[in-house]
Amino acid sequence: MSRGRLGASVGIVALGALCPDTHAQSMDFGGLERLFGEPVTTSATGSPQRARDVPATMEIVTAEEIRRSGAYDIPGVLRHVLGIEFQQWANDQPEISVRGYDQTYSQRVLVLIDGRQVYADFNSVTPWSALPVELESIQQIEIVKGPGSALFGFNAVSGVINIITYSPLYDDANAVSVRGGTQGLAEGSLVATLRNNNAGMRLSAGVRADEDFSTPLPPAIAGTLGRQNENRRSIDFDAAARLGDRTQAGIEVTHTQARQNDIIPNYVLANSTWSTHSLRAWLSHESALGLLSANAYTNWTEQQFYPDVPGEKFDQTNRVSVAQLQDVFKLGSRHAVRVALEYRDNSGGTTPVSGGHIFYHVLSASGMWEWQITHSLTATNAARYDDLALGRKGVIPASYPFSNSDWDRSIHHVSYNSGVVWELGDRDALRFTTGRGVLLPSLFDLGTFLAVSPFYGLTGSPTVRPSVVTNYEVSWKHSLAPLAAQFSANLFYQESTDVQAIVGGVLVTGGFPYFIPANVGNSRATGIELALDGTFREHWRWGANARLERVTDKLDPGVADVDYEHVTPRGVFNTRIGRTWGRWEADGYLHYETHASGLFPVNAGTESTLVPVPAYVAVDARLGFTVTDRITAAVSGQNLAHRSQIQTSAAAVERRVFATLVMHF
Amino acid sequence: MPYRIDAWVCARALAILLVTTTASAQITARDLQVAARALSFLQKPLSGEVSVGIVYVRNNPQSLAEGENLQRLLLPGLKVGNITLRPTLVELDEAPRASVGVFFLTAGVGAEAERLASISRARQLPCFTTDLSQVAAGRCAVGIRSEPKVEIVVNHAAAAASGATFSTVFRMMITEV
Repeated sequence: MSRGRLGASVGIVALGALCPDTHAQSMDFGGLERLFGEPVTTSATGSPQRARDVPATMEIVTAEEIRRSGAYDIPGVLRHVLGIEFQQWANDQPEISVRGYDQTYSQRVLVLIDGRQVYADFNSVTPWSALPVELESIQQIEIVKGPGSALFGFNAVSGVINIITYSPLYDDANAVSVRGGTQGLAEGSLVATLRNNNAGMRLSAGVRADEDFSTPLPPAIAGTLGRQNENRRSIDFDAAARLGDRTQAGIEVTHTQARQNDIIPNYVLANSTWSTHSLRAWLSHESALGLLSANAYTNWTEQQFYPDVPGEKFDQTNRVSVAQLQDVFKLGSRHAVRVALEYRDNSGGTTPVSGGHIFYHVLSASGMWEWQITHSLTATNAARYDDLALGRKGVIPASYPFSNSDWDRSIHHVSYNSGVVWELGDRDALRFTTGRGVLLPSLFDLGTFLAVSPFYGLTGSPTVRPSVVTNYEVSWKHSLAPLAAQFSANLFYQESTDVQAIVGGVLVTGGFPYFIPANVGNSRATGIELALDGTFREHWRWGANARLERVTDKLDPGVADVDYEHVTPRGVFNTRIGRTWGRWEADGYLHYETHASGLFPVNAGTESTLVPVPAYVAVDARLGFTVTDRITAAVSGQNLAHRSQIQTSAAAVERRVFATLVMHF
Repeated sequence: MPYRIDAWVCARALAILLVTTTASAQITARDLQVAARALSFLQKPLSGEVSVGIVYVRNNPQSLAEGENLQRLLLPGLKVGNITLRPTLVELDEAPRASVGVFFLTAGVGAEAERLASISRARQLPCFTTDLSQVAAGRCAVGIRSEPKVEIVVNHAAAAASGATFSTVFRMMITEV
């Protein structure tokens, strides 16, 4: 590279430090959707793209679909989406995964809000009730299936869910909603936007109280612990402004608190309270060098939980700070390029034995190149290099099998995504994709978990390795214009190596055993997704989809708490139908899963066994009535077919019915 | 390298011409909505009342018919987002003096549109059309079609020469030639 070009590159970075993030809110999602007549996204490659052009298998749930789902939370919306695995472990503990591999504290899907990670690194889980977002503030939910690590980094292995909220700069989102229903549900939310042509701010806030299911929890799971009442409160302030014709900036501050019952990864009950705070700032600048952006945020997350051990309390704390610089530009008319740098600082304290601190720093470089080979053929390649430096400081208990220096290690990984999209006329498109993602051990598995009893200890380990997930996929989309319908088929093969288990080994120091996490083997999945969606005579909309998949594990014998092969149902089927007439809207959803198994705790969760989960049909529905132009009333129900139904190895899921009143202003 | 670039331009032009012959016959309101929304993604976006100069050639029946159809679709004014398009029929010879904010070139004008390209450059006014062959030829900056899917084709050189540069986000989602 010449000195001049090197100087220019340094200049880009320096300017970027003053400037944004394209997966943030510098993009007018609503305006572009209205222009192109289809959703747009940045979640596949980091570059803005129309939904039909993305080189990834992706589902986008629009605001209209969210509203008509009848759900009151995001997992309730996602449960009808092709490829989404949904398990309801407790009333406020839904777990979401993509294409099987679901479990309590599901680890394999990275969840973000406007590009900001809300996945909790300390135990690799998304606390859905503690997300600082209200349904009325969501523009769309983007689900990328398969690894997305080349864009988003570690932990985007089975998929990515990016929740895109309305922009305070472009969109007027103003709504008040109240909701009440079974399980003592009482909920209210407010979304209010104040904006002009140059600046805008949005406040979103919500409160919810409910009770857990009244269906009995097996004693092996509940122990002597009772289920607590659940609640949630959340507030999000989001502001953005134009700083001249070509520059925008924004800040976001959030806080949530959620109290809930959790079935934790050894499949026993814990009473849990989540608390999160975040602060974010971004800046973007449209320059001759493309769209430069800088994005920085810090998340503070705390989970206090009380397991079934008298006097025992876990207080997990985590702070993650991320700084990103990015440039997206076109080279000529055929090439789109994204280059980015990222720095991440992550740390958490040990618990329940306090005094230790696990931390890591990650420096990442990534790039994406999209080449429009012909009018109908586009190839995209993206790669990312992550360099992680791990460490520990603080107190080491007596007889602990590690010293702080054992954490002085580095983890280097390359992730990639490649795809070719071939449009065969206006009606057909073929897509060939492959991706490699990396699932880090959680901070919990790396050692923030540190419990000592008189007879044994439980802790994390600095030696546990990341899991690597590689995915290969072929997709076909076909437009059935005469039927106003769209057909799609996705065939995939996925390999996961170095699967992690929270109790996978034992180390004995001075006669005192410590149970530690370990890599326990490999897993692979082969499957196909089929979907048909359409409309009929303007007033009808309908859809049907199926996910057929076989998971095969090759795990070490005697491994507890991990079994993907038997907990993943071979088949998941969804159908939906909706109709509007006059002021009325009616939507029905049917969900069927073939029989599978669920992991069940033995010996207070130190071991596990499989119990059957029968095949089941779940029926959801919503009936809405437009009272005035601004006010809508709706009655919704979930799991309507049965008063209660076994869907996991924990308590049976109850029927839920609730009424919602929404006023837009 | 120049050979390869030329080959590419020719291939794209052929593809666009194919599109033109199959899809540009009758302009629709949806085409106009797409054009109006595209204007808001200029780096210096247009907003408010925008006078659209519908450029036709007097002795070309196809051009005149489309011009009149276009005017009918736009009257009394098409409001899309924060833009309201107000139509004015402009004969090609009058284009240098017409008081408009954007040109909309009717179909079938052929090589005569070269004159509009010069005017567009001189007056720094963007040109839109559904006749994508004019975009491929560099005589009009922005081509649009809305069926069966929205497609926007921008002649990068013609757009830059007429001061119509689009945001990077927009450029990522369109076809440039």
